[in-house]
Amino acid sequence: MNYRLSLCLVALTSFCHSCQKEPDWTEQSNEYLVYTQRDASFDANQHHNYFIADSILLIDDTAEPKYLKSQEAEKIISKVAQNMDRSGYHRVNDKENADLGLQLSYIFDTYYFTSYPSYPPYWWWGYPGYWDPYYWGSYWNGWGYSFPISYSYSENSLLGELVDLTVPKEEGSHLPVAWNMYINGEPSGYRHFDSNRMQRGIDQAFRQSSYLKKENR
Amino acid sequence: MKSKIYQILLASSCCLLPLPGHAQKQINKASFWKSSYFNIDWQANGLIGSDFVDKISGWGAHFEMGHYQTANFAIGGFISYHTNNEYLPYQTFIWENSALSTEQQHSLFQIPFGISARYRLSGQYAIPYIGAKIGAQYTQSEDYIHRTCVYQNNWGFYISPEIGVEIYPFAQKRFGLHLACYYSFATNEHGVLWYHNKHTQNYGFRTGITF
Repeated sequence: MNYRLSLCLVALTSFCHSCQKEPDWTEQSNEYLVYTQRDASFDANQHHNYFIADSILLIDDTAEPKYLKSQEAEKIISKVAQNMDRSGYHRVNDKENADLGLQLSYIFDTYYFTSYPSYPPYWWWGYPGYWDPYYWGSYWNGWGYSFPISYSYSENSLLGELVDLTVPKEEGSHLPVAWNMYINGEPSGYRHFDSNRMQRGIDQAFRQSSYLKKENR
Repeated sequence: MKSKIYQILLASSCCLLPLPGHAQKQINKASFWKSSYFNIDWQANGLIGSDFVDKISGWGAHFEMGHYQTANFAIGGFISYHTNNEYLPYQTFIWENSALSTEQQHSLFQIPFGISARYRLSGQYAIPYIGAKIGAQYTQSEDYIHRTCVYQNNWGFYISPEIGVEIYPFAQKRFGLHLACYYSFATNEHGVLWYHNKHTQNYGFRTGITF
């Protein structure tokens, strides 16, 4: 009798558990998630101009680095530049004369990109073709992160990093990352629609990072 | 010899008399059935003082059965389940050196079960009662950020007072309607990420059938 009762209870509990109601996905606006982090010691007023790379690194399941230079990529780069201009910085075409550098990456596939360990050496040391500090100058030996990065990367994500090029350029020193942004959402399948959402995400990244705005323009 | 046979027969009868016969078993079974009750209810449930989900929902059910030990006092068992979902529109959370903008779907699923006690008052068509439940509760909290789900589940202690009424509008008195209001307290923590609630408190009402 007890055996049967126990079986009935297990069956009833399983039945109840299967009755959990899923959230209503139609309520979602599907705007992209935007996450930003900063180096607390970064002072916007100490920086005046910036250089932005003219292409977006495409991260997919191949080991060869690819760079996006399409019309959509240009729109993304322009949107970031527009927000930097609005924040009071001046765009320069020569990275040697820039105080700040901006690099953008788009994750199409997470074959290589999964997560970021909270200890050095960081993942991009092992990723073939990822932005190298060498891109910003031969004297940099690795990245300097003052904040922990604790999120996992997903497909259809845009990564943006703002590097501080004003720190003393000594052989072997780390290039400090002053700010980064991570924008992610499910692709809809419509390139134009997704690009617009990504651009709104970039606006949001700057909106929620008010410390990037210069006071004395 | 004859008297000895009579003595054996008398002794045997005395031994067998206290044992219920088939007919008596049937009577006892009918009597047990008559003094038992069964409730199957739909329920609406809301949370009290929760920063995770504060929207009332009707995604739940309640099952209870009991037996009247005396004319008014019954004990039995119950199990119920409930989901409270809430959509949180796109918003920005700002911390010291980081910020996150996203929309979220919060979901809290609860399964309490255990024993119940009930004291009914007198009445012919409408029989009000007060009751209490005590038992265990399973809770699962889920936070969906785009289709990524962050969740935690746990077990806790559950207690719930209840008032209700059984209404018998039909000639066949066994079948009736059941209405009840309840409050519940469970020691389960709920919430994930930056939402933390030390306990889980609910209020709600049930409506269904009784027989």
